[in-house]
Amino acid sequence: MRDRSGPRGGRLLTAALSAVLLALIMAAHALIPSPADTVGPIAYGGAIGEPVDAEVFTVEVERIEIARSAYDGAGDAGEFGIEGEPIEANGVWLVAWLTVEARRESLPNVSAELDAGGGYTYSSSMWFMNTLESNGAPFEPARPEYGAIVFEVAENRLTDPTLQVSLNTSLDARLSARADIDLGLRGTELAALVEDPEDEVAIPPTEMR
Amino acid sequence: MHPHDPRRRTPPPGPPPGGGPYGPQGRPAPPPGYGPPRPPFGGPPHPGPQGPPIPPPGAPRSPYRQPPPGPNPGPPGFGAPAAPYGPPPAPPGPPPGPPPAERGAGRSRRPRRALPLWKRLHLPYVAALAVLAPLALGVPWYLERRTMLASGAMPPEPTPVSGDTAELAGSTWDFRGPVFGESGGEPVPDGLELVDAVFVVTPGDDRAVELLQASCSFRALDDEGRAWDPTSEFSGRTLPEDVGQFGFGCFDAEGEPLPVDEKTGMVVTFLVPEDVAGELRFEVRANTATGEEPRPAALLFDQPD
Repeated sequence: MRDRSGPRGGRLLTAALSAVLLALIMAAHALIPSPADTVGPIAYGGAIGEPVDAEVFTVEVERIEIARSAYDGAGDAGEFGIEGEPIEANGVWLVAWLTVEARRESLPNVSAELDAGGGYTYSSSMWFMNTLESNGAPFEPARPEYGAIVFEVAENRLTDPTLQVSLNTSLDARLSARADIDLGLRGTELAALVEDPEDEVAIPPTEMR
Repeated sequence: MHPHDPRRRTPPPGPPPGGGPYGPQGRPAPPPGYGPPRPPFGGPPHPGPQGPPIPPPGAPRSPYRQPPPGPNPGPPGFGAPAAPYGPPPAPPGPPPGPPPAERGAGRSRRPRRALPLWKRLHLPYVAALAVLAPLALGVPWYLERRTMLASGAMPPEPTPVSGDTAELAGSTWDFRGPVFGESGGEPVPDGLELVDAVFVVTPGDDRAVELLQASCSFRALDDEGRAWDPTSEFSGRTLPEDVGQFGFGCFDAEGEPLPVDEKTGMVVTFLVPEDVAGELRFEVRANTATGEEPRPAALLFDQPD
């Protein structure tokens, strides 16, 4: 549009628009993610009891157990299997039972964290030999693996737990897919579980489903 | 010029005067110029003053003007773009006087009126953008892809092999076909099939041996593009003697570098769903260079019919 109202008005308008544009550009710069964020894991959300599609793998959390003590069970091997000693938790064991399946290619590495809510995050426990992390890999397409992932958590830190599962081709987790599964434990239900944990949970070897 | 005279005298038809529209163009102030073309505007005022001055300077321009003036009806065409200006040029009277003198200088403006459509739409810029924008996106994409392929950060696209023999990184790979279900008596899990892909590799020279030591991997792919890595299950079976070993690289049965110009068998075991066993293709991947840019490459063997 050619404004013939006068050069002064036009210049003022141009200056104002430039200032606005400049402000917008500066605001847009604030939106640029940090280098760590740009290569962080790519999260796919879901909830317990439903398959969560993280594009390169799928995961379904079946149930959660909370226990004072846990041990490596023999599973189907029965009395011929190897059982571990029960291990008491500092706090409680949160045991997630889940099925994991790679969709496109072999994924040899799995890592899991528990976002307990309230800003607390727990790494999974490496005390047991039969967990998915120690025992399930590599995850291959069309070969779903069922097993447990175990966390040692402080009871009073659990407020709104979310399980974060990531499967990778390498140890490098940058830009890897991650499934964030809302465990649906809150309020009274969670309080009841934590106040009255199971005494002992057996963790059998992972199995193909 | 001829047209001017008659029209000048006729005030109402003001718009006509070829001189009307052109004269104005030359002027710095658009108002007068645009006004004239419009019938309602200063038909009379302009003609008077403009008439006389035009001829002298106009003479040289006549060539330009000629075309438009003839088709006085043409003004509508010019008038169209000018339409918006029409209204403001209310004060036509006074300006006309000086403009004539400036016309010479204002010449550069004249083209504006006569701008052809493609120029008004800035087609050259659009065309340049159409060429440069894809380049601006495509060149970085291409360069980055090339770098990542060279460094191995991006897996190489496997080359399909016609037949069963192909060259890779200085070695000859011969695919002898798959063997199904030879589990050595151990049970294979339900729904799965044990597949042994049998290769014979012949390194052509020392460099090929070195490359195979550094990198040598296998995968099985199905029609959907899903890929399985070799399994270490069933590794307790007794395989034919002198079958090479592989892990991070390929070695002979003793774990020594492969002998040059000698055939070494490789048995690569996969555990895959039963329903894809028959359609599997087998990929061999190896670096084709040493150093920071290993440039991995891959071959893809079909199952023999």
